[in-house]
Order: sequence, then C-alpha cells, then structure tokens
Amino acid sequence: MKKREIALNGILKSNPTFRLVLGTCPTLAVTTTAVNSLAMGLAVTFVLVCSNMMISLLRKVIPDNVRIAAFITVIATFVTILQMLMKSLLPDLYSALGIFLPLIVVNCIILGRAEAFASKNGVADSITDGFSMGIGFTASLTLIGVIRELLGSGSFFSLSLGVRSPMSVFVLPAGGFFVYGILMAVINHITYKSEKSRLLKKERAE
Amino acid sequence: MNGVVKTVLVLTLIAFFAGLSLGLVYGLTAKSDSLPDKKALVKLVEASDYKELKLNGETKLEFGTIKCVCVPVDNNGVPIADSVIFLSDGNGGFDGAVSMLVYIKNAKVENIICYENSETPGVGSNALTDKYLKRYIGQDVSSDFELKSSDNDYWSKPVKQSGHEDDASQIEGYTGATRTSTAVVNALSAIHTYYVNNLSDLTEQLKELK
Repeated sequence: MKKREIALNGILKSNPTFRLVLGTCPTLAVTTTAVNSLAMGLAVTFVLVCSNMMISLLRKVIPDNVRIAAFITVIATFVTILQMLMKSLLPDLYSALGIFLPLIVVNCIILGRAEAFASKNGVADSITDGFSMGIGFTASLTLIGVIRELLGSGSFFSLSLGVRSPMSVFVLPAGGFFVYGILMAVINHITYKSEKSRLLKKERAE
Repeated sequence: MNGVVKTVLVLTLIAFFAGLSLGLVYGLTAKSDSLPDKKALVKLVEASDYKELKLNGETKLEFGTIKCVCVPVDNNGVPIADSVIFLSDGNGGFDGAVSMLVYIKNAKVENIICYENSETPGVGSNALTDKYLKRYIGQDVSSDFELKSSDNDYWSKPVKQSGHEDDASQIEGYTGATRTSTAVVNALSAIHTYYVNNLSDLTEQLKELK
C-alpha cells in the first residue's frame, strides 16, 4: 500500500467511526461536547501512534501465540502514561473524560490496527497508519460533538450562542445514536458515490 | 521448551520496560507536595496562595487520618492570621474514608467542604452537601465532635434527637446517611485530636512563616 494511501485511508475510506464502526462506546459517551470529543480523539491518536510504533518495532520478536497479551501490555502502558500526563497537565479534561480514558486500552481501533497493520508492516508505515486512523477518529468525534453540543446545549466549543431552548435530547444517549446514525448514512453515501465515480472513470480509461 | 522459554523471556522484558517507563513518567508527573487541589482550596477560603506546613506528615489517628495541614497566605506570602486548613480523611464512611477540607480560624470551623468521597449518590451524598455541612460552621475545634444518634423515623431529612435539641456540643446526623455523617464527624474528631496535640508546633510554624 502506498504511503499516500495509508495516510488518507483512516480519514475517509476506512474511517474507524463511520466506516469500520469501531470504538462506538467512547464515540457516544464523550461526544456531548466538542471539547471532550476533540480531547478524546487526540488521546486515542497519541496511543495509536505510540502503540503502532512499538508493536511494529517488536513484531519480529513477539511470539505469535502471545501476541494479544503483548499488544495489550504495550497499549495499556501508553494509556497509563497518557493518564498520568493528563492528570498532571490537564486536570479538568482528565476529570471530564473520566472512566473513558482508561477504557482506551480496550478500544477496538487500537487493538485492531495493532493486529491488522502494525504487526505486519514497517515502523514508518505503522506510525502513518496510526496517525491517519487517529485523525479520522478525532475528526469523526469532533463532528458528532459539535452537532450534539450545538443542538443539545446551544453552544459551540463551550461558547454559548444564546439559544433559548436547545433540544436536550441531543446530549442524551438517544440523541447520540440519532446523530451517529445520520452522519454514518451521509458519509457512507458520499464514499459510495465517490468510489462509484472513480470506478467508472477507471473503466472509461481502459 | 525453547519456545516456552523465549515466550516467557519476551513477555518479561516487555513488562519490565513497560514498568520502567511508567515509573519514569510517574516520577516526573507526581506532585511533590500533598497540597490539595487549588480549586478546592479557593472554594474553601480565597487567598493568594497556600503553603503546606511541614509538621508530622500524614498522621493516622483513632478516627481518621490528617493528610495535609496548610495555611492560606496573602500577596506578600504572610499567613492569614489565626488560619489553618486541614485535609482530613474520616473513617467509617459507607464506601471507605470521606475526605474533608476544613478551614479553621481562631480555633473555630470557618468553612468546610467535602474534598473526595465514594458515598452513594442521592443517599450518603446528602450528608456532604454544602447545605448540610454548614451546621459545622462555628463549632469549636478544641472540643471533641460527637454525632447525635438519629431517630430514623424519616429518611433523607435532618433529625433532632428529642431532649437534645439545644445541645450545641452534638452534631445532628442525616437520617439515611448515618455512616457518611459519622465519617464527617470522624474527620473533624481527627482534626480536634491533631489540633490539641500539635498546637504548640502549629503556633511555632505559623510564627516562622510570618
């Protein structure tokens, strides 16, 4: 896979939130505000990049029969490092993310990319893949968070827009599902159309 | 056999280096002093800064543990007169100790907030609201604290024990949150014991800071 393809893969074509439908639990839980969504996305990106890099470095050393245990150890180490750094430097965000910060360890995206990509590819490609998936996840979460906060609280990145009666259902779990489902349909439609036109162009060229 | 040895060795090395890096990051990020969070201190008493008093460190007592003793200071770094702040963990809460931040001025409770707790929301937490904790304000820390026993006729309401309504030395419990109330009183009892036993050291340290 070319480097450009790897870099763009996680953002749209294999977007972990809307296309692969991975990490749905934190997606719905923390996207009540845009700031929390962005913070969670960046936290996952950090762990993805670091764990992909480390697992790729150790891929020829880790025996196949204990690879999952080894991957989890590596991922958990980076999540704990992130927790300690956030607790010290960003205590408000640390409190806001709560239990979902340590739950990054069992986020399917991270273990999935470790197993599917980092354990089979070089360090540079793995870092690129981790970064791409992380950016895709961050963008997805932020988009959901912006919409939910705008409709549900009448604010944008904690700045009040003076909305008198926001639709508070959008900051509740049900609203999260609505927004997630609609965005997934829209993005899959765009991706499908784009893929179809690309294939048509390729056929015409041939 | 060689395969098993290699597997164990690899996993041990991964765990070892993981632990090493965690220890390194912990060493860099852990707070060097035991001062409570500044936001909580500002909520308790507004001051320019807060200085920890180096007395006996964390002190375990019969009813609780004194985790930190500090003083609010003004712009010039001078302690505010006759003021001390205690972070005290009271034993006997429903789900472990209840951590109370107490501001003492002139040997009386000037302000009190709950710093940390694991009590049941909507039940034990009723005894940790600012509205309930206000009853401790004005209490003399040089005399011991004692929880009145509740009469359990009503739930989620403060109770007055009959015959003791005017007894100022006793604190009214919160029915349905007896254990949490007990933990709060224990935190204050620990402060009383510490205050009485270390008054001379406290006074000396405050003089040194001026």
